[in-house]
Amino acid sequence: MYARGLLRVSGGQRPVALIACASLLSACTDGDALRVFAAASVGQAMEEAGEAWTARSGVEVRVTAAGSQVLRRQIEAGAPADVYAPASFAHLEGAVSERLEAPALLGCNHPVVVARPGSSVRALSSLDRAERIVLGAPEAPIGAYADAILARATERYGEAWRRRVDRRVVSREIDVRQVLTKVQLGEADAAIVYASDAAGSPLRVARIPDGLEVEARYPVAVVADAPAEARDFARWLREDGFAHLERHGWTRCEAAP
Amino acid sequence: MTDALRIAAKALGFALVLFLLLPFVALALTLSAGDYTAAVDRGLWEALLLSLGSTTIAAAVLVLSGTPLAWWLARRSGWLARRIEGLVRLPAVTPPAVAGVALLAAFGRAGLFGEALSEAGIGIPFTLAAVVLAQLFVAAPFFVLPVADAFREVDDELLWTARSLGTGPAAVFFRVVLPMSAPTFVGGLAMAWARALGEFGATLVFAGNLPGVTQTLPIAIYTEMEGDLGPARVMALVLLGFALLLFAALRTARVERVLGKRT
Repeated sequence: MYARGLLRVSGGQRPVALIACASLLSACTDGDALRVFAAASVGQAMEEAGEAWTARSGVEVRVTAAGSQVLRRQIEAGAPADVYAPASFAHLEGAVSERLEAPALLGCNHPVVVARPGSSVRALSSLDRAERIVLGAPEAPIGAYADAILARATERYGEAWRRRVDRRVVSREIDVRQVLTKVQLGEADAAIVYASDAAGSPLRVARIPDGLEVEARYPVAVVADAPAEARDFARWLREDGFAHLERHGWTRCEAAP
Repeated sequence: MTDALRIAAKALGFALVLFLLLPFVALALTLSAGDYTAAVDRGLWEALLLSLGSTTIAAAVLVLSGTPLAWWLARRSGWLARRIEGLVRLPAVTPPAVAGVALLAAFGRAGLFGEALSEAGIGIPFTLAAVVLAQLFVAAPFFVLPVADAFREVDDELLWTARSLGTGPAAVFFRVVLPMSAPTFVGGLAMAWARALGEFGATLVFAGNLPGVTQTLPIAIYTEMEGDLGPARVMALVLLGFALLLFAALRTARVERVLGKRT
């Protein structure tokens, strides 16, 4: 596994991987495992789904979890992947699409407001009562969603509310994990993260009110030269296997209109 | 046989040079037109200014506090001095993200001194102060340790002679010790400054990422990688350029001569 991580090679990667394995004397038993590249937010749920699939089909699943944009660059550069599950359909466009089969909708994740238990933030409407707010960077999917929610909320709660919120934003973190960590460490009072990140954390969670919420749509795509097992796994993930994602806060949703 | 050995050694060394150089060449070659304007739009100069400003403060603090520490370490060889030297070495082997978490644990709102600091009305995380502290933390070993070594190299007899001629201890330090250690002093400062300029992990954790406040160039580069790689490449090259300029400036400053004139 380390050999893979060290050597990102394209095309006929298997012989090279084998040489790397041999030279590093690492356990190289994953030659036939399915290699799933999953967005950081879906990594944990994907690990569990992968274990269930192994128990079911006997095919081993190896999950690489990282930022969608990082995985995308790796796949573009020819990294050995069989299934790609980024956090947004936007990460399927451009050069990466040349290596992928037609994607399908996996499910939806919802941004929510999280707050430190001791803070006076109870909902999106009282987000302006936080001393320090952290959001995702506008370049990161969670930051773009947060901006969309705040733009809609400004119409409902007013410009003054928005100015108070903006004044208290102390950081635009690079990914959703960093956003959540800042609140969990007590350095920030409130943030907007995915429901799946909030699930299982001791933080106060508030849904985004009706009419203001946005859906984060997660796709799944099979890499063009992947073995048939990859297609089976992707299909199962969207059907029975989705229970593993639902446990972590994902919901089934309709295909884009 | 020795010829073969010499050729092999040269080939290995040259291969390393190629390996170190190629990524930078590739970085420059993969640029496309429009990347520069895009990078400027994305706050290239604002981030660079923040990087240069914060590292200048960090370097100044490091020289002011690190020089006395290095001198003390050089003059003592006891148990305490050796332990403290080991401690100064620690940040160099600490993963930057861990350094960030440790800084939060000490100076964060929920940290060890968090309550005392917030009662005094001071909040360090997410401010320029946090950026500087993170840089100071990771860069300190690169200055203090080599400078302490250079101070040790100065011949004791020279110091005694100077003192016996009626030179005061401060004058001995500034006119004898510092000029003799100048090359290492400058080299150590350059390495520490470069390390501060490239600081990313600890800053991200401890200071966060807000353009114009805490977004240094390395953090701007990583943020850009969420989108298009073009502007990130331009920013990376600008950062490298300024690091090289810094090295060149410190090398040609001839601090040893400036200091030496006083003797």
